[in-house]
Amino acid sequence: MEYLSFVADAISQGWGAVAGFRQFGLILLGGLVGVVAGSTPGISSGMALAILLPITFPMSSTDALVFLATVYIAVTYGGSLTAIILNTPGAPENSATAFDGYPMTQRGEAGRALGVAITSSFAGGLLAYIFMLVGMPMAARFAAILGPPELFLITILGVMMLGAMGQGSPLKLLLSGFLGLLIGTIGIVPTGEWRATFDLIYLAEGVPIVPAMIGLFVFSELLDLIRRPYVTEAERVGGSLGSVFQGVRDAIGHFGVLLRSTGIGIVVGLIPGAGATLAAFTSYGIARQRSKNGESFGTGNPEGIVAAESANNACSGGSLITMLAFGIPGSVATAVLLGALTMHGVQVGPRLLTDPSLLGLTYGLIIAVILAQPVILLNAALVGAGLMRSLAVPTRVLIPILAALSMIGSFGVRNASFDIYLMVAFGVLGFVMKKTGYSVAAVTLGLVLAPIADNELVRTVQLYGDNWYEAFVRRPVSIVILGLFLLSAFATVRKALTERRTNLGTTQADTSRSTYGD
Amino acid sequence: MVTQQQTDGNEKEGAVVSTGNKAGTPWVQLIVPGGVIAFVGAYFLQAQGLSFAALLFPATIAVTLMLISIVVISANVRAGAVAQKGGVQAGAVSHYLKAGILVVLALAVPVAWSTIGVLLTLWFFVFFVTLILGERRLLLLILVPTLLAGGIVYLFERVLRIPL
Repeated sequence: MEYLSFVADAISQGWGAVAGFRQFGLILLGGLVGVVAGSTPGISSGMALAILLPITFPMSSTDALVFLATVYIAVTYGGSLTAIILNTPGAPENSATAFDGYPMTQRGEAGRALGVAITSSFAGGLLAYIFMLVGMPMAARFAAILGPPELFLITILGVMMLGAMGQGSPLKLLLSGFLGLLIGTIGIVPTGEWRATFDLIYLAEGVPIVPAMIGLFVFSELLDLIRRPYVTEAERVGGSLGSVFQGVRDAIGHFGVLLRSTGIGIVVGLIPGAGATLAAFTSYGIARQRSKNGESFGTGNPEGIVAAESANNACSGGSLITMLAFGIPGSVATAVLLGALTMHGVQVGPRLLTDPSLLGLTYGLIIAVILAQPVILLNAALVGAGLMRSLAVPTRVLIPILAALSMIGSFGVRNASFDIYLMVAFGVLGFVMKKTGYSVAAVTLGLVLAPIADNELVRTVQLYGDNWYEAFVRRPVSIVILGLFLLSAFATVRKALTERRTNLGTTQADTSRSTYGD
Repeated sequence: MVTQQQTDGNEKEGAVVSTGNKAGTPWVQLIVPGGVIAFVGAYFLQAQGLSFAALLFPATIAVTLMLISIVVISANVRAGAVAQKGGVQAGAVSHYLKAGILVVLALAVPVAWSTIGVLLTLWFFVFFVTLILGERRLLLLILVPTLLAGGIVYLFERVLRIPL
C-alpha cells in the first residue's frame, strides 16, 4: 500500500512537471523529428540525439529530457519504416524487423507491413512505459542483482543466440557476430592501454559506431541497389490506407505474441547493457520457434514484425529505467541521453527514484513518453505513407542522395574525414558479407556489445584477481546464464550439422544431375 | 540443373545464375573467413605486449573466430571438391563496375572537400554518381545535385550549426 501511494504521488508530481503547452509542443516536435530522422537511412537514434543535443542548451532540464526522450523513442518507430521499405534499418534494433518486413515490401505489401510495425511499436512502447510508471523502484532493485560476471555473460549470450536462432547459416552468423565483437575491442582498453588501433588516433576511442552502421547497413545496400532500376516496382508497392489498416488488424490478431514480446523487451531492457537489439532478436527467435508457421519467418511473416517491433520498443522503457537508476547506458542513444542529463546538471542514480525533489523530473519523463506514443504513431503512419511513394524513385536518383547523406552523416558525428573512409570500408565489407551469406546485423550487434563485454570482463578480473574464472560459477544467477549459454551453443552446433547434411545432399544431387545431363 | 551457368561474366543484367549453393561458389566463400584470419593476424601484431586483462577478451574472441573460420573454409573446400562447377548468384559485370566507381568517388570526397569546399564537392559527387548510374535528363542532372548539396549545407551549417 505504501508502495502504491509512493507511485501515485510520483505520478502526480510528474504530471505537474510536463502538463504545459511548451512540453506538449516539444513532444509534437520531438515525435516528428524522431520519426523523420529514424526513417532516414543512416540516421540512428544516437546520431539524431547527438545532433539535436546542442539545441537543448537553452532549455530547462525537464524540457530537454522530454524533447530528447521523445526523439529517442520516435527514432525506433522511424527505423522500422526504412527496415521494411528499404531493407536498411534505421538502427540495429530494427534489423530483425527487416527480416520479414522487406520480403513483404518485395511482395507489394509495404503498407500492411508498416501497419503491423507501427501498431506493435505503439502497443509495446505503451505497455512498457506503463510498467515503468508502476514498477520502476522494484525493477531497479532487480537490475542491481547483476554483477560484472553476469553482465559479461549476458552480452556474449546476445551474440551466441544469433547462431542458435538467427536466420541463415549458424556458423556464418556466429562468425559475423564474433567479427563485430573483435572489431569492437579496438581502442583504449579499460586498463588504459591502446589496443590494435593501427597507430590511428581516430580509433583511440574505438571504432565509431555511427559510420560503421551507416557503412554496413546503408552504403552496402546502395552498392547492391545499383543493379536495380527501382527499389521495387512502383505498381507493386502496397501503400494504400486499407493495407495499413490490414496490418493493424494483423498485429492485434497476434495479441499473444505482442504481449510476450513486450514482456521480453521489458526484461531485456532492464538488463544493463543488453539493449533493444538483443530484445528484438531474442523475441524474434522465440516467436519463430513457437509459431505454427515458424518456417515462413524471414519470408514475410507479419508475426516476425510483431515480435521484433513490440520487443524493441518495450525495451526502451527498460533501458531508461537502468540508465536512470544506475547510469548504465544500454545503447548509443541512451549514452547520449545520459550525456544530456549530465549536461543539464542531473546526476543519475537511485536518488532519481527516491528523492522527492527529483521525482517530478523522473516521472515527468515517463509521462511525456507515454503522451508521445499516439503522436509518434500518427507521424509514423504519415511518414511511412510518404516513404512508400519514395520507392518509385529511380535508384539512379535515390543512390546519390543516400550516398551523400551517408557521407555527411558519418562526417558530422565528430567532423573527421577519416569517418567517411571508415564508412566506405564498412560498406564494402557489408556488401561482400551480404553477397556471401553473412550477417551485417550480427556484426553491428557485436560492435555495440564488445565495449560493454570488455569492460565487464576487465572489472571481473580486477574484482576477483587470480581466481576470476570462478566468478562465473559462484552465484546461481550466473549459473543460469551459463546454462543458457551452453544451450545456445548446443542449438547452434545442432543447426549447423543439420544444415551441413542438407547442403551436402543438395550439392550431390545437383552434381549427379549436372553430370548425367538432367 | 546447373546448366544455366555463365562463367565469362557476360550475364544479363540482374540474371541469377543457377547454383547448388545460393550464397556463392566455394572459392567466393573463402573471401570472408580468409579476410577474418588476416584481420585477426594484423590485430594481434598490433596488440602484442598488452597486459593479460587487456588481451583476455580479444584473445577469447579471436580463438573462436579462427575456429569458425577454419570450419567454414574446410567445409567450402570439401564442397568445392564435390561440386567444382558450383555457381554464384552473380550480378552483371556492369553492376560491380558501377559499385567500384561509387566506392572510388566516395573515397575521393574527403580529398576534394579540403580543396574545393563541401558545396562543390557534394555537387560534383551527386552529379557524377547520377550520371554514371544512367540518368541522362539534363534537368535532373542539374537539379538533384544543386538541391541536395545546397540543402545539406544549409541544414548542417545554418540550422544545426555543425561546421562542415
